[in-house]
Amino acid sequence: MSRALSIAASGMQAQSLNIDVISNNLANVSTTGFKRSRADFQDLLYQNLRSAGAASTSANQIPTGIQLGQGTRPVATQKIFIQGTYQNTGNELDIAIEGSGFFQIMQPDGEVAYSRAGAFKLNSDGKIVTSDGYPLEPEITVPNNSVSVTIGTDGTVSALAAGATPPTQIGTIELAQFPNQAGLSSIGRNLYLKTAASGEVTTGTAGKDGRGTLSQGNLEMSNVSVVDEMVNMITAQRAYEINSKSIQAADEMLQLANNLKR
Amino acid sequence: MSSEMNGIVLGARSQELRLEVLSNNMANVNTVGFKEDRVFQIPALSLSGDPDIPFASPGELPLDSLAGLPVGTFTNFEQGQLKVTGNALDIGLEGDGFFSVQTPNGVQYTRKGNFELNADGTLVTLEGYPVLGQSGRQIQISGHDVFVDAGGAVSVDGAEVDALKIVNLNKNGLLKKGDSLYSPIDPNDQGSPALNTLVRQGVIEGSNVDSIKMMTEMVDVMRGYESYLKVIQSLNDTNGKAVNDLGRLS
Repeated sequence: MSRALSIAASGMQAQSLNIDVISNNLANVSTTGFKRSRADFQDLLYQNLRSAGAASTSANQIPTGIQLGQGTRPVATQKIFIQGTYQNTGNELDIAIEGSGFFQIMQPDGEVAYSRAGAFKLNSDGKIVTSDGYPLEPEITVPNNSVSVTIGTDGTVSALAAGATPPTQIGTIELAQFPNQAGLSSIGRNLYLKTAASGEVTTGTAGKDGRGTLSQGNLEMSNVSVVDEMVNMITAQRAYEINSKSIQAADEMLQLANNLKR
Repeated sequence: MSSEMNGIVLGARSQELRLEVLSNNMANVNTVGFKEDRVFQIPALSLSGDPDIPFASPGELPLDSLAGLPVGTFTNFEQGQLKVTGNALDIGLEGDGFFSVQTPNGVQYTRKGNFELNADGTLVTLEGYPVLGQSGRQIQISGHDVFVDAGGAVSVDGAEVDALKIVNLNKNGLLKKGDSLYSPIDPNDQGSPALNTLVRQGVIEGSNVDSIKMMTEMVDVMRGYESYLKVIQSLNDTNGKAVNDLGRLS
């Protein structure tokens, strides 16, 4: 009986984690470049109270066994890297990646992080930086006297100086790719770090070798769908509730058993 | 204690076991590819008919064991609901087949198709076990576009690399191993190619636990348990009468 209690408790813990993940998805419904997560569960070990197929005598086998599961546990929160919707902003430093690939962002500690959020700005030195002020890697500096910046689909960045034609090329945005992007670890601020699970990074020109192309003046929005998350939340909440019902049932049965002795 | 009491205690404990199995089903109501377990009563006839099956007689049932209960569990392999996710490595099975997975304990089988790639580009389950291809080898995916057709063939960037090894197994002879994995009781059971199973990319198979059915069964368990305890109480009352009132002189 105490087993029923702990089994149901494992179910409640799992669903509570599920709600946490869903809440974080919903909180980031309008975060640029955000990718939703999904909690994944698996059943725990089974206790074989009686093994089916074991020999009861040399000539006979036990036809049916009793297998008792021990509940559930969360195994992973999986990042779902499907494409987010695009929003046209017209802003010349808003860049969306159409297809796979990540921008490379240099963090203050010298480690390169990866991002899908393409809302770049210029800092006081004219460097292209993220909203947090981290520069794009390799660094691209827009000259002071530029009137406009053009970014080609292959990542070529050109600046048009005042009074001069044609525009001059000032750098190239390279995209990074991973064998397993779901294995990247999120560190917040729309940034990901590579891990052993993500595999080694390869970088290269946008549009080549399966890398996506760049689209200037567009932003990739969050890939969270509110309706889907709401449905998931209802499912998770009901699953939580139904597990609490098994705790109630176990409790009531224990109470009945306790009342046997008056 | 009277002998009928033992049978009733067994009945009450069978109901406890039912609740534990129901709780496990409900804990896994959101587990991808989970199949519910059910408890069934072993008919009394088959018990008395085959004295070789070692069910402990009620009198000698050890208190800490449920092994002597006249019940068994089986797994209901009914199809779970397929949910569209759009994720290229979410693969759902429609039909009776199982994915083959290389685990440290040999090849095991699963219905849980939300796969991933590991650092080497090998198709693995979320536990990191490689998913096996038709030839029994691991499936390497290095490329951008992964396409899985209804027969299980895996193409990367337009070139077919391998096909998922989907097998039919004797469902009455499968043991649950946890982690949504199954292993045949008979170690020689390699399964046969599942021809009637459709492979669907971008969907996952949800748990086949029906929460409404679980709730009604739970009511049934509780009331059944209550009835057994009521009978124990009235037997106790009868015994009490026999002990205390019978033979009283006045």
